[in-house]
Amino acid sequence: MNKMLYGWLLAACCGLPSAFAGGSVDVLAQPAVQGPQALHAVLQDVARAGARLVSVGERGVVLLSDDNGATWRQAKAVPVSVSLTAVQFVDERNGWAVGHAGVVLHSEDGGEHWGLQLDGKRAAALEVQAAEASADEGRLAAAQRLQADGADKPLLALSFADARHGLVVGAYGLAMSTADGGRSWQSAMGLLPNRRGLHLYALARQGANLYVAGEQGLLLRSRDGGEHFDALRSPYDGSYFAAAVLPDGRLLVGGLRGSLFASDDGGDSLQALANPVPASLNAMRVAGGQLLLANQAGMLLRSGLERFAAQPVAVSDGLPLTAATAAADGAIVAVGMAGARRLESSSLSTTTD
Amino acid sequence: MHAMNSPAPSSGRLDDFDSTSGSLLERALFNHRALVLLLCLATTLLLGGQASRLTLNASFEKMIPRDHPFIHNYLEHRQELAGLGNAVRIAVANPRGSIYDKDYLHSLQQLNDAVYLLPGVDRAAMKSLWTPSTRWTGVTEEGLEGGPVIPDGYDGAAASLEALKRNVERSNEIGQLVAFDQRSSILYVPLLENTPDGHALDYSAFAHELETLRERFQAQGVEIHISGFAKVVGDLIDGLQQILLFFAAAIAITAGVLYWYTRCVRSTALVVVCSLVAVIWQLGLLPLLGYELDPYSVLVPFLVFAIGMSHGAQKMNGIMQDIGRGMHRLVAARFTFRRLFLAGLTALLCDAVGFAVLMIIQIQVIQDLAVIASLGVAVLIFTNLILLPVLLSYVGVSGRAAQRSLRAEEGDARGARKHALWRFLDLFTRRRWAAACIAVAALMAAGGYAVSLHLKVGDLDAGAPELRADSRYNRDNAFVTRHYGASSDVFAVMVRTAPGGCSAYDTLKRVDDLDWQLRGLQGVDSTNSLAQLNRRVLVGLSEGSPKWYDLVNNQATLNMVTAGAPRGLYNDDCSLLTLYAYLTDHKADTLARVVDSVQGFAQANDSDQASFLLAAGSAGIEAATNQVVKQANRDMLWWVYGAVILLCLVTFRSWRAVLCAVLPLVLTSILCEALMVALGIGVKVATLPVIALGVGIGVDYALYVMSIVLAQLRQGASLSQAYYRALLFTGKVVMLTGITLAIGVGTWIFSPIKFQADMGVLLAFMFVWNMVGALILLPALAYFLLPQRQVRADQERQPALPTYEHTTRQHEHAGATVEQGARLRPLKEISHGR
Repeated sequence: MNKMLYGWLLAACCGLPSAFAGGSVDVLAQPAVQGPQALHAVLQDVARAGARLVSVGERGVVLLSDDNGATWRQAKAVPVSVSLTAVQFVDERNGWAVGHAGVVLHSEDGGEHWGLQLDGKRAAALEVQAAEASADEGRLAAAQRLQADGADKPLLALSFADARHGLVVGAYGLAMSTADGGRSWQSAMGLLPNRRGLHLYALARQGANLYVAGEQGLLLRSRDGGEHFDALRSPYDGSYFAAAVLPDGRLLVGGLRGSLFASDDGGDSLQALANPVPASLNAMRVAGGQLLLANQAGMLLRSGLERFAAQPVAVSDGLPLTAATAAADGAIVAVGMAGARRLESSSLSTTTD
Repeated sequence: MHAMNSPAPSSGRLDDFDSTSGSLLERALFNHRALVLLLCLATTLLLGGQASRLTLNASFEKMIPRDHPFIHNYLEHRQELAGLGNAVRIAVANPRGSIYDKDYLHSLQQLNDAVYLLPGVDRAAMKSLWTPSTRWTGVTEEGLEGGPVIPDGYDGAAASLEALKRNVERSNEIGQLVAFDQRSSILYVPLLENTPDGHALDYSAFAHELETLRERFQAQGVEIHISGFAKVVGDLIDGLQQILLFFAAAIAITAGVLYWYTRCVRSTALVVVCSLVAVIWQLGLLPLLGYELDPYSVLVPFLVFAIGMSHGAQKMNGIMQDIGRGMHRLVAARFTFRRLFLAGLTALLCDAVGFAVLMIIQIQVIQDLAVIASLGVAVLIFTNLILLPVLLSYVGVSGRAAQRSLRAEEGDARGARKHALWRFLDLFTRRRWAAACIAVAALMAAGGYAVSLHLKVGDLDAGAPELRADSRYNRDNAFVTRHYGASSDVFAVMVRTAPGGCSAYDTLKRVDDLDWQLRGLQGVDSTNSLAQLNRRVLVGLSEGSPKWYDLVNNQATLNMVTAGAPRGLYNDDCSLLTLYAYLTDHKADTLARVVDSVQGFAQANDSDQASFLLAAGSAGIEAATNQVVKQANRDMLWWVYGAVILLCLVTFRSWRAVLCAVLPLVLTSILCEALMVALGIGVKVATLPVIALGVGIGVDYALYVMSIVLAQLRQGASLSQAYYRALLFTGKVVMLTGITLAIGVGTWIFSPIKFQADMGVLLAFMFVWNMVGALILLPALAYFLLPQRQVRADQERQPALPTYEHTTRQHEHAGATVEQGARLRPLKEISHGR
């Protein structure tokens, strides 16, 4: 896929007149627009901050719901207007969101106000520093290219173990870690065995086990909370977009065209699971005592935690779903290209049983 | 005027009449009556032949204000705005279920092939499920995969229907070619400007072809809904043809009214024939001068006919009274001509002022309407002022009707009681009634003004505003809007860049920001732009992962996406981007919101690299039209009232009289606006002529009445006496005129074309209400405003008309009211002229 993309890029660069060296528009300095259109934005992820639901999406939109997804309002201050791709809260006040242009945002008030902790330019500079320190010629060259490209690469996933320790990963192998709640960041790109610079789409963590899933079947594992990573042997060459660890330690990864694999031995061996819908899985989450999978065809797949048996529920008329979670009252809230939907538990039981 | 001063003949007998008397024109016409008739006949035949060449058309460009900057921008770039091209959408619905049905797909294929062959269809760009250009794409582990949505080896069996369903779901066409509910699909048919043989596309013929296809395929069990400009125009032209029926109805009703008034078949027929001749001449002149009738100007013949009828009636009145007094018909006709030619001319010129004012509006249909209407008035000068008296000199009138026309005067002379209606109207010349009347009028004006503050600009109903909300077309259009994403109200912003600069990140980012800003506006349903396409395509290129939904700051990616973008989002040399906002309606508020938002954005963001230009698309053009109309509505009021006041001032030479004449018109204008609010009619292209015509023609009533009242007052009559004289002299004809005009335009109310119906109801209201104002409010105002020379006691003692002497009547009617000062005479003639 990557090769194809580059091929296209090359062809396009030659085919079209070269671009203007624009740059007077800086998305990193442009706060998210406050307005009613935010309520209809494309949403990428949803998370719980205590009883509150926080969803992030295109153009720096952050939506909050204090009534379990029935109504939403826009967060008061988001300093950037790039698309946000993922959000996580470690308690009801402290949370992080990542997005395009390599941004990491932090909130200390349950998502009302956000501050910028990291952006793609600073991330590239950190990687250049790290590459210089490592004295790895190849890595340095790649890091300098990254710096030259500017902040054009998205962060795609984040995982915080607590209010201090976290890892954010993204496109072209971008990976940054923090040990002080995001006040300072280090490049984690040297830790990840990803020489081809594949996109890193999903993170899943349980205890000291941390899994990274990505493009072209990339699977990485750390057994020490992110200090060291090994590459796992993948049963599949297609891309993974989603990963989750069940409470019993079972690892699930899913991706292109609905492919879904499980491992009961920490990733050493993976077995295919039957997925009734052959549409890409965009997200997986354990919430409210069940497993929720959001797919590209706008369906939510639900399963119990003991035995995998996916029950599809059509949610958004074919428009892709990007994430789902359980609200404090047990209802499921799914978000996607068509915005947020609250699914009453009663309506779920009638359609799925 | 000199003809007026010639002494009246001692008798009305033909033998005594000096045929060499009268003006040169009169002698030229009446001493060669046969030749005049022959010439008129020849002209009628000639122009009648020409009239058959007259074409009906509804040109889109004529309806837009070409001098507005939005329209300049639009016309300058229209060749490059492929996405706004002229296309027809044919939605084919399966009433029995989903589109994945063998019979349905068979019908769709046949219809597809039939439409493909219609002349004027841009075949390469036509799209439906059955065109090879409709493809699906999917991402697999191997990369992108794709093919036509109709699977290879389609045979209508369950397996291929299943394959089709899968392909459609992967094709990104749901909401575009396939309805959200998958029970209908669309044939998207772009049209060429010219058919392959080089002729301009005939919308009417094309629309009829579509109707034929609709009939043929609905018989096969599918439902067909057609929307698009070509269909609107086709339906409009069909509507125009129906207007002939209304014309026939108008002739019948006004002829009936005239007969009721004269009780004489001969003279009624004569007036109708002359008015019709005027219409024929007018229609014949149009193709000669290169004009065609459009949905607006098609109404002018009604007006011309109605004005002709009321002028003719007035002329008849004079002649009948003369014949009733025993004059020979030729003598009566010549005297009428002497009396009325200049006066009639003046009156017709007054009407022309109303039309002429329309020329200030920079919208071609309105200017055409002004020209065509002026032409009609010019023709009336010939048919009503020359042909009518000449014909009368041959035909004459029925003797009984002639006697009848004198009855009221004779009754007066015998001292009989006045007619009840006159007695009622006379009340308004007394203090109590006049004060009450003015108080009521002031209240109505205040109330009407309060309501009129809610007056909106623009069209207020959904769908094609030209047609009625429940018309076939608008129901079809609503179907398409409901089942497919895009609405028919498109507001397009053009973004001009340097050649090749349309994909620059900086430019696209600004377009993206504007896109988002517009989506925050109330009334904006959705938007589309190259920036949005970039977001979507990047997701596709990234294996469908939605997390890539962003406008990335990576020029290579942007260039690549742009290179693969469909036509319509940018032009061939990548120097013009188009941002489309699909609106929920085309109300003026919605349009103004969008315009303000874009203009504000353009001010903040225009740069050397990109400038944001308003506006194209149906909603953009309507926004421009609204601005022009709003301005013109105000200008028009100034001009038309300015002209009317000037005219009245010249005629009356008294500002007090001008006030009396104009204030009732102002009340009518205010009430008319209130009526528009009540009926949900916005100020639009169609209502502008109404205002001008309503005031321009409406002032005539005041002219008739006031000129007599003034003349009488200056002779020393009391207001009551003066007003009674005016009523006898012209009041009846004022009422007749009001009714004839109102009926003439009132038939439009049944037109299938909505703006014609709106014009009809408003004009009828203005004509009737102006008449009421001239008969009731005018004397009430006069009571307080006009100086009365005589002391009130005199009035009470002499309620009859002491200055009226039957014996002088004949002299007076011959136009020589010798007692009056020369200055007053023209007033009489104007009043008499109608």
